[in-house]
Amino acid sequence: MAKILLVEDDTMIKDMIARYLKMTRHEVLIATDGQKAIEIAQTEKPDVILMDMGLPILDGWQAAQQLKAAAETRAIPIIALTAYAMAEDQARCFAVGCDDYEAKPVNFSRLQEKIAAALHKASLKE
Amino acid sequence: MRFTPYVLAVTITALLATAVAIVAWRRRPAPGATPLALLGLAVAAWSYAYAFELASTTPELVQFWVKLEYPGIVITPLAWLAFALHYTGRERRLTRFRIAMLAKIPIITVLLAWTNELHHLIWQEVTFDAQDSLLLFDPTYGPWFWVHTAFSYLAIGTGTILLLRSALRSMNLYRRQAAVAIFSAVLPWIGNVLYLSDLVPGPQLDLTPFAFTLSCLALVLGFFRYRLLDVVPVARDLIIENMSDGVVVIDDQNRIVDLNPIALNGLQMPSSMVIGKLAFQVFARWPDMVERYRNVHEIAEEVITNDGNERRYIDLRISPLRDHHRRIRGRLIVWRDITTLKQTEEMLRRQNEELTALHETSLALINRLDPQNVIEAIVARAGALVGTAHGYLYVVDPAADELVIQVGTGVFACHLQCRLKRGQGLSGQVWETGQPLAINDYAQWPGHHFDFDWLHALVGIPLRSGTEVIGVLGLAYLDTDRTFDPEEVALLERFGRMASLVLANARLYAELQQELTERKRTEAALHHAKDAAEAANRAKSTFLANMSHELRTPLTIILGYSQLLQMQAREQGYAELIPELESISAAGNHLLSLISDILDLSKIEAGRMELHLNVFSVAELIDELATAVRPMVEQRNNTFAVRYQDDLGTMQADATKVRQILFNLLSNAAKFTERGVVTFTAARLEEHGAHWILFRVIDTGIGISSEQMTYLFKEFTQADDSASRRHGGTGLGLAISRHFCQMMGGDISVESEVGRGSTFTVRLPTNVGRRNSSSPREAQEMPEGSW
Repeated sequence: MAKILLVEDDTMIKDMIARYLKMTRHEVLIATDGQKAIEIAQTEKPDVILMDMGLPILDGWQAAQQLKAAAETRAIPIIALTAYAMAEDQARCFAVGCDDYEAKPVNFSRLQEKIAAALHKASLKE
Repeated sequence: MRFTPYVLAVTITALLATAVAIVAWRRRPAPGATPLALLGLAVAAWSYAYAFELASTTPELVQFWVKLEYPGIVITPLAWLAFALHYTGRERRLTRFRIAMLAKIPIITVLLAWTNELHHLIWQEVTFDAQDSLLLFDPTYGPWFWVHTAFSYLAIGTGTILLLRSALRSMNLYRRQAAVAIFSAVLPWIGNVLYLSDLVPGPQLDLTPFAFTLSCLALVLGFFRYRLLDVVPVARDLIIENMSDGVVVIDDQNRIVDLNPIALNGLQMPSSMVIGKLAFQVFARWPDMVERYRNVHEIAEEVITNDGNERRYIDLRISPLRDHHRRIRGRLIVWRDITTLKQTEEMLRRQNEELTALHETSLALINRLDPQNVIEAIVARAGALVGTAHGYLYVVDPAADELVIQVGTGVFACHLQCRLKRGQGLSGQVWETGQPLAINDYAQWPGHHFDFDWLHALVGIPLRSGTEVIGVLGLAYLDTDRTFDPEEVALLERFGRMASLVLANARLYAELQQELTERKRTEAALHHAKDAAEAANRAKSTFLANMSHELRTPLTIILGYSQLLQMQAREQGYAELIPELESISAAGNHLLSLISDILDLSKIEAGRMELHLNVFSVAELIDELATAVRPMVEQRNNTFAVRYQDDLGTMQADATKVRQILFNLLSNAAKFTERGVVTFTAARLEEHGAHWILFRVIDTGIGISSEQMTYLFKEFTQADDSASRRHGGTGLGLAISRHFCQMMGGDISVESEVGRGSTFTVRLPTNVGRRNSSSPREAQEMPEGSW
């Protein structure tokens, strides 16, 4: 049971992933752009953030960079969740501070493992 | 002792002889002076003793002085001979040995005279004749006396002949000197003859010492007055005789006094026709010369004579001959034929001019690179070289086998349409023979091709490239008095050789330029094509990347919901829906694999697929793959066996691609095998010093027919079309795998038997080079995306 911030602008994907996360007993917060994601992260302090990259207003890379730059949100693990599946896209995600990466289409069981790993790592840090 | 006038006379003779000896001795450096001094001394000694003899009153004393006279008597002829040899330039004949030989008889004579009482070989009987207060020695002579006398006459005679010959020879030029010499040579003989012939009145006196003394005096006079010993006329004669220059001496009456053999040879007349003749008669063959130099006494200049057709250069010098009063007594004419020298000089000068002209021409031509420009310059320069404005140049047109005129200057400027066949006209003949041809009477020449009656002299010079004639240079003189002589033709030929080089050079350059231009054009086109291809490739890559992204988004939804529905179906007890939902997932995953594979292949084709090398443990890679694939293999009731050696160690390669290759093979094996065995092995081996890792995937599945084998690794083929439908897969996996293997320096191979199974072998070097690796910016689809 974790508090997960899902940042996704595509309504169908957002609903689908949110449904999956809820089915697996997670609390789900939703943001549809990078700017809102930062605001929610600051106020709600989620346990993990699933971040799409192609976002309006503020894209995922910029948002991740700002979240990792701010002291209050730095500790929150970010898992990049994107259809940009090229090797260079993955590298770019890690470069802006993402803790993990999962290409779309999402393999739910693998995503579940990555969320668990991120939570475990975060708990170790605390 | 008593004194008589005779004693006085003899004493004076002795004193004079002494004076001669002293004067001669003082002038030792002059030729003949030393023997003359000796001669004077001998005569003086003789005369002193003679004076004492004449003054003696007893026979014993007379006898004594007579004996003392003898050294002087015997030395005198020898000294005379020595003087004559010296004076006539023959002193070298007086070697020490010869002097010793000549001295034998005089020495014996003296010794015999002094010991006459013992043998009477000189005087048999001695009587004394008292005359006029004189006691004269009057012997009868013994045999040795005649030997002595003969010897003495021989010596004196030889000397006299030498002197006379010399004097006569120089008679023309040194008349007084010669007279003195003859006088002094003859005098002793006169004295001696008088003595022996008793022709002298008065007492029987020996006049020989007197004669010698007079002779000596004459010579001394010659010293002072005529510088007898300073100039050696005979030696000078010898030089003049042997000179290569012509020498003629003319007196103040313009008569020829002397000339040497060279001068005589030049006149082609015997000397008897020349000597004493008037100079202008003798030199009548050269009237202008006679006129020119008639009154010239001193000059040095070069004269050109035209002797027949032959032009000769003469270096002529005229010097005045003066006597001791500085009056001009004649002229000395000396000349030398310097024609050969002049010709050589002229040849050198001409060659130098030619060289300079050639050099200037080459400098002027060498910088021209445009062939037409070069051709124009060649004609202009060739014309300047021989001084004509009329020239032309034909170039061989190999295609038509004709000479085509390129340039015409002067009168040829209007003949620019000419073409000549081989052998046609002068230029055609030059082309045919490859030899220069000069025709100095073109209009009359039978081979003429054009009716140019104004054309006088024409020369054609071949221009060659190697042995092949590439053109003909022509030059013409229109003036009737000018012709092309062999030297001019030779010069033009040399020029032609050089011009050929320049022309060939210019042609090569032009060809090169053209080739370069073409090459540049091709290069530009290639460059443009490459740019276009690269742009197209970039566009394609961008398109594929975008396509990948855009396809993934709906696939995410399809696959996501099919997963969700499966979960919900399980939870809510709708198990019958699960296979259908799984079909949706499978189709979606197939589509995803297709996207990945197409992207990979497009990169491989574009050469944009990059290797990202890293070092990894081979065993770990195998374990990881085995774990991932095991469920897939076991799903169809297969046994999965994984075997590898413990010593596999690490390898350097692109781990992602190695994983992709092996995953592809293993999933294929899993797909095409049911209730069988899938074996995954790995081994390290060394071959020819290179280390390899050998991966094998062995299955006991359906196998591959040999027919299928041929296009197994080709894109978009699957062993069996039906298999594709049954087993899924894009048909790109093996093609991509093989590309990856080859990129890493390895290969993939297969052995198979239908119905029994297949063995795929991947062979990769343990250390893949960096050749194909590069920047990490290059895109590669993540394998995680493919299932």
